[in-house]
Amino acid sequence: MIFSSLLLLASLLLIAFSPKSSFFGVLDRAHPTHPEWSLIVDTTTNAFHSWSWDPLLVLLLGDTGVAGSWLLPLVHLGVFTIGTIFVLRHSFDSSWLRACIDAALSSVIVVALFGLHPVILGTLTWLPWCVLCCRPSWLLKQNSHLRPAIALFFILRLVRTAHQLSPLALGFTFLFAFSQSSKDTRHRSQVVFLSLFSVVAFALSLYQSFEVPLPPLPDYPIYSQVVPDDGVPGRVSPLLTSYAPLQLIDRSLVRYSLSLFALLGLLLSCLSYLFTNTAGVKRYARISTVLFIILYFDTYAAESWSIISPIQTVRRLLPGTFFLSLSPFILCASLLFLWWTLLRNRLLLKAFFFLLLWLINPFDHHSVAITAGKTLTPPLSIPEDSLERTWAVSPSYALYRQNGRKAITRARTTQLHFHKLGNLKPTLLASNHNAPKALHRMVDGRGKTRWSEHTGKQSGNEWVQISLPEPIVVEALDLNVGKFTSDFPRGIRITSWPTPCTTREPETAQIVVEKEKWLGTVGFSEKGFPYYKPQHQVIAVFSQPTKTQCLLLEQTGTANFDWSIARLRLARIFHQTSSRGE
Amino acid sequence: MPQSLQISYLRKHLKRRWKSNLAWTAIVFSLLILLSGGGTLWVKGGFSFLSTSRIVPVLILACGLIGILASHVHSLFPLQLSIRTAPIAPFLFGVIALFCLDWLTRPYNLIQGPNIRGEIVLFALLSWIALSRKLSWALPFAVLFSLALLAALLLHTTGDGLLFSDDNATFLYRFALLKEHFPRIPFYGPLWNAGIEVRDFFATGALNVFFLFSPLFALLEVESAYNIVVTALLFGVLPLSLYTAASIEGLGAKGRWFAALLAPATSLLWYRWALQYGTLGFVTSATLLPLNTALIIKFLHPTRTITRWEAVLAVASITLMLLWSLSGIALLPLVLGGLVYAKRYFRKKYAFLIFVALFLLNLPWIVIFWQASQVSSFLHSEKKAEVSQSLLTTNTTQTKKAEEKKERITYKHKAGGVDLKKTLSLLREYSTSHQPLLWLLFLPGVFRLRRGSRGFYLLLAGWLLFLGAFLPPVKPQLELDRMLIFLGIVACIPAARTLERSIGHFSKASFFFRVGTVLALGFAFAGIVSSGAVLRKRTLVPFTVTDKDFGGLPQALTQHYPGGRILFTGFMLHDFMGGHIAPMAHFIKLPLIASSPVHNMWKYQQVFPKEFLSRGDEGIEEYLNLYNVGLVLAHEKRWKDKLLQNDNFHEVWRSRKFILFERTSFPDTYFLKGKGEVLQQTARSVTLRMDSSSAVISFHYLPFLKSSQCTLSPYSITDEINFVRLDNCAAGSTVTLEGEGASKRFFGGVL
Repeated sequence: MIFSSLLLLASLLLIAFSPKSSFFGVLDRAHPTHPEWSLIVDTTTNAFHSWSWDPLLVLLLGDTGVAGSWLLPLVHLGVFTIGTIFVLRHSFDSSWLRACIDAALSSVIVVALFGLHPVILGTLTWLPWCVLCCRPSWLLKQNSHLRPAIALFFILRLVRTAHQLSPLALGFTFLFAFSQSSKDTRHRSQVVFLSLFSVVAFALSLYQSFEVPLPPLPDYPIYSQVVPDDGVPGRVSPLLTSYAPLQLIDRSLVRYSLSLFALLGLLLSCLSYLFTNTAGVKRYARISTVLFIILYFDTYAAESWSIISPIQTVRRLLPGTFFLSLSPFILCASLLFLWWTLLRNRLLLKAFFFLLLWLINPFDHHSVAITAGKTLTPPLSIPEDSLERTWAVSPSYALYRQNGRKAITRARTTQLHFHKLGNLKPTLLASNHNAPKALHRMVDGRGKTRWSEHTGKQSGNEWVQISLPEPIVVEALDLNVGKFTSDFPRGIRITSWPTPCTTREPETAQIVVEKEKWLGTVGFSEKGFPYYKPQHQVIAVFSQPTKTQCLLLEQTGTANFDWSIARLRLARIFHQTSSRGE
Repeated sequence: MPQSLQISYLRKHLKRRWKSNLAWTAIVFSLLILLSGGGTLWVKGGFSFLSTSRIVPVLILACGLIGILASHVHSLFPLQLSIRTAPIAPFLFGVIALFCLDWLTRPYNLIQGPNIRGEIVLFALLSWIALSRKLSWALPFAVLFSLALLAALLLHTTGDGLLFSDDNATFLYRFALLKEHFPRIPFYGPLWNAGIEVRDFFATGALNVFFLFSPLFALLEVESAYNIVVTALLFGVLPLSLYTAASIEGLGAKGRWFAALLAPATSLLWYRWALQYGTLGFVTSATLLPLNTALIIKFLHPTRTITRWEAVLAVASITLMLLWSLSGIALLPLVLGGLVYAKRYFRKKYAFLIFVALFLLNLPWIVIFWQASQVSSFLHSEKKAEVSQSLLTTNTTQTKKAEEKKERITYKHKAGGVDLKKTLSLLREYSTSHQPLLWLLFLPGVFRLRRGSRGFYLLLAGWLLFLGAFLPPVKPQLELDRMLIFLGIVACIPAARTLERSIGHFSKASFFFRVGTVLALGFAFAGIVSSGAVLRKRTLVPFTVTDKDFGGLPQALTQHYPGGRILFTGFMLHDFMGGHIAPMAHFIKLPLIASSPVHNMWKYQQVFPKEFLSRGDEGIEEYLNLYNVGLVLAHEKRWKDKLLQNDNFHEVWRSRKFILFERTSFPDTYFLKGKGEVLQQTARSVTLRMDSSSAVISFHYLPFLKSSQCTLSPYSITDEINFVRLDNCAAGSTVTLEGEGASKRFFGGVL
């Protein structure tokens, strides 16, 4: 108990001094048509949907903000912690003090991983209470008609707080509650009652799922995208429920962030399952293992396999969940189960678990930024009720995260004017296919002719060098692929030197464009929402206007297509007086 | 029995079972190769798994058959065989193979992959939990939930609008006419094309839907009832029919629920005919087919008795089914069975009553239908198509005539003989769009039906397969490929039987058997989700739903109506909200002219006859005057441009698709000769006041037309156009023109 108390203290201190840029994990704004709902965008997964806190708690506390206010999330966390105390006391026959410390540690895990994320907290808040009240042994006690009513009250609370995720949360509730009691002793009428009770509960949750208003999607043009393509041919969309016409969830980031965690969690769960003898704990370990397997399948397998994983399938089937990423929720549930299996284990495992949590926290925004490998200027401090807040709290958030707020603002306020590079009489050199005739095809101004290595693939080591007769200020390059629309670079780096290429020095080199993964040129919808244009439009905007005489264009990605350049153009920037979309 | 003998017997039995399973697996794989035309693993272009060579399936089939024979021969002389059942395991293995093949990723699939595999796996996992926990309530709950969900989805998709694509519009019109005029059908309809014979109720099967839902039609407006009728038909009557049929066939509770579960997800083409084409007569007949099959088989069984409610049900259901006349052909094997076992049948209680009731109920309408719809000439119309095609290729001088003929008698399928290549292609197309469980689990299911039913089901399946796969080019006008949809629905019963037996063996079966079983259940539930996708318009079945005001066209026509008739230029096919224009007459109750109000032309047909059109503007003007056209509606660009440039036409309204023109001057009288006035035109009659003793009016003459007092005769305008000539009328009298009643027309007034 002393160790647990110390662990709790250390964790609280770590949370207090953590370098998190946002403790809510989401950015919110008011729903334009449903005042009781907020629109939120998940700063990690880019999920964009409607959400609200528990209306009962909102009524009691008089607070409505989804992210920003501390009171409501802390009350939700408190409700969850108290419920967990009861669950742990019931499950492990712990003393009150021990149950309190363990429950607090459970909450710490949630906060350490997800901060005060409204979706996670909202889904968890009433879950332990429902588990307590839906246990058949409690629910079916004779001569107590009040108990089903109480259980129904908590289910209603769960449904009104977990919204789209309520069918899933209810599934966990029943799985958890029913697995704790023996089925054989039940009378037929009790089975019928339990079945009816479950059906009513699920009907309520489905009803609530349909009640959640759909998020108003921006006016993106056709073929636009906001996150990297998942690589699966076509667009995966649900057969029955509502969906967006473009991919919203940044699957590559979710997979990158969670796969290692899923693997380690799975190993730890398996170990707990193998080395635990207590039946109750073994049950938790089994659930945790299954959940980690599901998570592992979702994050580690190739995306073409992941789309048939249970998480993705449930996401397609449950109403409203297609706008969310279920992986964090599954991770949260599996970690809690894993933690509960470790409660009665040796101190070393507990310490290892917490260490793991702090070391490779997949949802820490700092690490997300590192994994994304991009500038970290997310629009977290944009004033509410501003137009930019509307643009940022949308699926376009991913662009802000990937490019930085500054770059988006710059792109919005500037207009590019292109000039043929051929007019400047440049000297061209390439990694391969260096015949003058071939190189000339880059600057002949025709979209039908192209320079490429003609290897039929991109290996990541192709380059083209442009040497200009005299230094000029360049602000962007158009590496137009003409009619060869599959031959855009998968990754691109442009380095500039102010001197001729023959005399270039490493010291004077300046990387003006670096896109590890080329997603497309940033465009803006009529209402001002940023999006990526189709990837074959390769306009590389420099981080700043640069005086250059030598440019080295490097293709850094890999693909089974050539890298082609049909028309090379330089761009100058004309600064607009008003930004687009305003 | 000594232990050594027991072991030896057991070994022998296991060896035989193993051989039999292997042989049946070969049959399943030959079927897979035959229907898939070669398959790759998981996705198209993956590892080639099934051979594309034509000889391979035949060889495997032969080996399989030999294997089956070998494993069931007890003695060679005298030959003793015991193929009583096809084992389930090889067919479940087929389900696993199908899941792993690229089958699900092929286009036009009901269960369209690749991501549908996720749904299949999820439902399989849930089924595994339900089966291992023996949750007996889960299946009925899941089935009822699925049906309710599908019904809710269709009603949600239609919302306040109306299902209107293709023939949905025509059926809506027919129901409106039936509600107003039944039983006085067929009749003369002056509101369309200056008078046509309204007789399609018989050929299209509109009557069966009308009878089945007559209480609903009596209570509600046709427009309000229509969506409910379609929903109830697809997700109420069909599952109920299959549930009842399964019950009659002796399937257990689970088998019945499985039959009901398979019902709404038989094939993508089922929804194409039901929602996109809106052929409700065919849909109703298909819905009732399994029930009638089960009833007839029961009636012909040597020992099973007929109960009173079964007798009533059979009379009602068979009559309703036959009202879509082509369904009679589907039942032919059962009718032949009835002839063979007539003696056995008539020994039973209620048998004679059923026979007489069926005879009396169906004979009158069959006679009317046969004469009114000119069935015999329609049945032989494919010969004209063949002739015209041969003329087209051989005799250049007659090319023009042949082309004209061809225009009239072209159908969806090209006329010709039986073609194995076409048959195989048709079979592949249909098997892809069908729920794969229906053809994969059919055979083991049939072997597990009652002994008296097996033969009939095999015979019926073979017959429907023959009709649907081989005969479409022989009789293209009948569109016999629909018999494969019939087959799919009938196959729900054996497939449900297989599923019932599979889950019965679940707890004791091997791991692979269990996987196959839950995967089959996954397929069944994925079928429901896929059907839901059809209803949400997310598949290749693009049915249309209109808004409440039909794009404002009916209001515009009523508002700007100057008198006379309203003419739709060009060719009206699916140009009015995706459906046919027929119900416009019901919406506005004004006389209309179009190339055809219904879908009875398969090629572009201009509304103006060639003899008028060839004379340019003058001919068109003459035609419009002849028919007393006041308003002209254009939807084709060339007609819009033409009329916009013509001073005789004044634009009065336009929408995204249509432009409505008012003629600056038109005769405003239907009297070409003589004097008088048309007082009223209804859906079935014209009332006019005669100011002269004889007149010619611009209404088409039909031989069964009668008048309340004048003598009627045809007045020829051109070779194709005959108007009504009225003679011997009292001046100043009011005359009503309408069609003879069916009783007098077809039975000489006897009935």
